[in-house]
Amino acid sequence: MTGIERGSGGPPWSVDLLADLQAGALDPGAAAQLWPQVNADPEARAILAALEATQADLREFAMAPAPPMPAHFAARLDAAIAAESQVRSQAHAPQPQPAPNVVSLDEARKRRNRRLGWGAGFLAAAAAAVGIAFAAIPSTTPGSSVAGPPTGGTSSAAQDPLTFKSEDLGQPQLEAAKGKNDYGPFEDKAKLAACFEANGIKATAEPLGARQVTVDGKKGTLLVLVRGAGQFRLIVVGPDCGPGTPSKLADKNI
Amino acid sequence: MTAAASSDADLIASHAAGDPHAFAELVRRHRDRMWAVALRTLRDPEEAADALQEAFISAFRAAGSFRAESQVTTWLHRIVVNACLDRVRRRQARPTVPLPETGPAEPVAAGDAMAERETSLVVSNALAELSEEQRVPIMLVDVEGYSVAETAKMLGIAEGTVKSRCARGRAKLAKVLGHLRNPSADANVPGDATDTRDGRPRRHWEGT
Repeated sequence: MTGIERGSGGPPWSVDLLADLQAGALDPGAAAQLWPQVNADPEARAILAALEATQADLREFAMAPAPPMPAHFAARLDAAIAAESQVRSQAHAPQPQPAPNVVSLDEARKRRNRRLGWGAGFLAAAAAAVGIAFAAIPSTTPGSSVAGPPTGGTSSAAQDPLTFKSEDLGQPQLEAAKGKNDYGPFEDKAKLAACFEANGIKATAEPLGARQVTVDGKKGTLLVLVRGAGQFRLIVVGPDCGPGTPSKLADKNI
Repeated sequence: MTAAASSDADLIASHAAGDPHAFAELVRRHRDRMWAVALRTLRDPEEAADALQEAFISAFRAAGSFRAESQVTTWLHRIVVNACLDRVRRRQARPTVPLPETGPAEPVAAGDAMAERETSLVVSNALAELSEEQRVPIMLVDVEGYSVAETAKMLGIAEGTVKSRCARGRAKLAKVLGHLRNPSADANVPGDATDTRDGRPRRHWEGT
């Protein structure tokens, strides 16, 4: 018997009650009433000491020397950072073509592919990581305002990339959705997985980004998937996408 | 230019200014420490590696807006923890994914780190016995050192909920770790319920 199941408010003590007291989980009035009794009772003090010893173990656990990151993971991380660095250099390079078209996108993709000779796996991992990491950053985290280029002084918002015709789906939408976590009706991962399956996509696929868009006048969710080094699949699905209902509004590989 | 002697804040600034090597140096400096954080939070090396990668890439992108010079480590730590929490949430959303059996602390280091290793394994295994609902707040508050308020914000739950989950988790851990034995048996010998070493209580079973 540990005492957890026993009565509370005095000897014999409930461990849960004392744990609550120690954690500050009791209301102030009850705590103020309880502390003098606890301090006067050796059994209660022993239980509190056991809880404190537990916390001390946890602190020790945090300080304990840990093994280094295994070399293969470290290499993967370095490659991902290197790939990200490449992407950044490319993004900051002068690109005097604000209005993309099919031909220039092709060229851009080829150029990117040539530059990113890191291997599809690494870039895919890095790209996927970017998308997921954005979801992980809370709004209070320094630097969470990384939705757009960090210091870009020029505005390229000539057209809203979130409202477009299905045949125009391409680079502007990729840029607008990459790294975004705006899943709308697919916030529920199970629903997203079901929608992926309905569209023949692996249910566990991790989008690089998601954004609410309007395609050909219909509301939908744009999902960015990584196909390989510098290659993406942009798929827009309607809100009813689910088991047996692909509800595909647009789909393009770029 | 990235000098090994540069401060973390210098590296962040260099990175933000376009130095292509500065961030890699920052990663090299903090990788192992952050790996430990990710591994003990997620308990699965693959997941921890993925989370760490996500976190560092996120930090790479967010570095331009970093301002607090003396808190690079804190900033990175927070990003890593958030990446891990995101994975915990995903794991919870997919209940079929089993928790790995392997604990986080399986150090390759030998020698007199043995006792620490043992303690780490014991604590790690004890933590694994908690529900995620209790384990995560305890990891944040008792292991990673976040305040109750910060933890509540990170988890999106009330502070009172953090406190009570921590309380329940500690009560269970106290039993699993052997700090809490049989209070009725110990009631007559209160001073024996815990012994102290280095000024703090130690686990009961150490001498039994």
